[in-house]
Amino acid sequence: MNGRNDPGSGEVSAERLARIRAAKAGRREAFDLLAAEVVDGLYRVARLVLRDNDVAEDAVQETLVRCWRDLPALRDPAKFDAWLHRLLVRAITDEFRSGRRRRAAITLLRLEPTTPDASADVAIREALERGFGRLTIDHRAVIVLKLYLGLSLEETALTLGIPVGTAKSRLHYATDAMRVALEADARPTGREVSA
Amino acid sequence: MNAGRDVERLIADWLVEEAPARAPDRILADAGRAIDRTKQRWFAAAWREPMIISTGRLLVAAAVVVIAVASAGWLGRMSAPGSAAPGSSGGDVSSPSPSASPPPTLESFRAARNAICERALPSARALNDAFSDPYDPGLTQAERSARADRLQDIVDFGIALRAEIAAIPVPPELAAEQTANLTRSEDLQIVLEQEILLLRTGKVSEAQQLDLLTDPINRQAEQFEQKYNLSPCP
Repeated sequence: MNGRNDPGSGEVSAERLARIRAAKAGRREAFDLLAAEVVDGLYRVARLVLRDNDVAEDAVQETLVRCWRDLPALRDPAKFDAWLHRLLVRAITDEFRSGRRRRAAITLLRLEPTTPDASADVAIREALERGFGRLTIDHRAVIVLKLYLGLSLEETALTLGIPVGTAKSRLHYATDAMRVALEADARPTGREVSA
Repeated sequence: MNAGRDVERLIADWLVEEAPARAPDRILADAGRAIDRTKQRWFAAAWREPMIISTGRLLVAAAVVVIAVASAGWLGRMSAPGSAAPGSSGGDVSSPSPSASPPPTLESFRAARNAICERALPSARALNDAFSDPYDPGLTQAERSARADRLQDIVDFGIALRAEIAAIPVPPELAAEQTANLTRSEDLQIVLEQEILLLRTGKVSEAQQLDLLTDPINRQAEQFEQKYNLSPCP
């Protein structure tokens, strides 16, 4: 739990395990409690990866429906959180690729600053936003799972269903791209030099 | 190295700032309404530990399945000389009976199929509860074989269920897709039987790789059910 931004991950208490088992056995009231526990964390991850409120809401809703539908097939309730994040990443990818990406792109464009800001913090945030917006969904997912949720590389790979080496190379590529965006922002433009 | 960590810390701090505090209430409400209309599935794609899968190994696994499916199809045709055109499977049961029963419709097919699938759920639940992860590295071979036996029970259950579904009269507009779906179910059975064989001989990673091939088959079956608003079948 320490250093993580997701209250649903980490050690699974006996009470939570019992709730997961009850939901797995088809008890709707147990599932509703479980959903209420995890919805904020799911939304934070979806919103961070997708950068669009509406698409993130759809992705979380779809994740909860799939969670209910497929929960009986989860063999080990102790792995519920990793399994749930995997469902979320799949739903995020599906939502992004289901023709809504144009809307997300428009939102991103709207967030782009039209004039440079004097504040260094704001400039860094804008550079991060631009760099992140240029990443693919797969790369954004690795960044959010690893750097926001604080999952280990092994846990990130498990969540994404990819080998650890692939998770590592995606993280390397994504952070490198973000660093380039930051450096590009810090570099003075030709116009600034001549001014 | 340090520069990389600095960037990571910068990104992590930015993500914390950017993250919304909580989800809008309507998500739970909307999801709840959708869940009211959603039945739980049994034997959905299983949650697996990640594996390092070499392309070569995956190709070998895929080749095993292709050969097994092709052989099964060839044997099926050989053992049914009176069967219809090549490529048709035993699932196409849309031929009308000589009596004056009404022609099947999508509604009658859906009702019959849903009844079979819903009736099967309690047994599916019991089988699912009896089954547990056969890939656990801590298992002895005897324990793994016992878990493979439970997987065989699930396969046998699926075969019986498929036979019941195949006997439902199918409306002409659905015949091709229903046949394809039954063929997918046979493919799934072949993959799982190969997997069981590998588990019983201690070839755990090969079995686990083979299990990955069930994902696309399950997804296609799910798409068929969603397209025609059919209850999920275990």
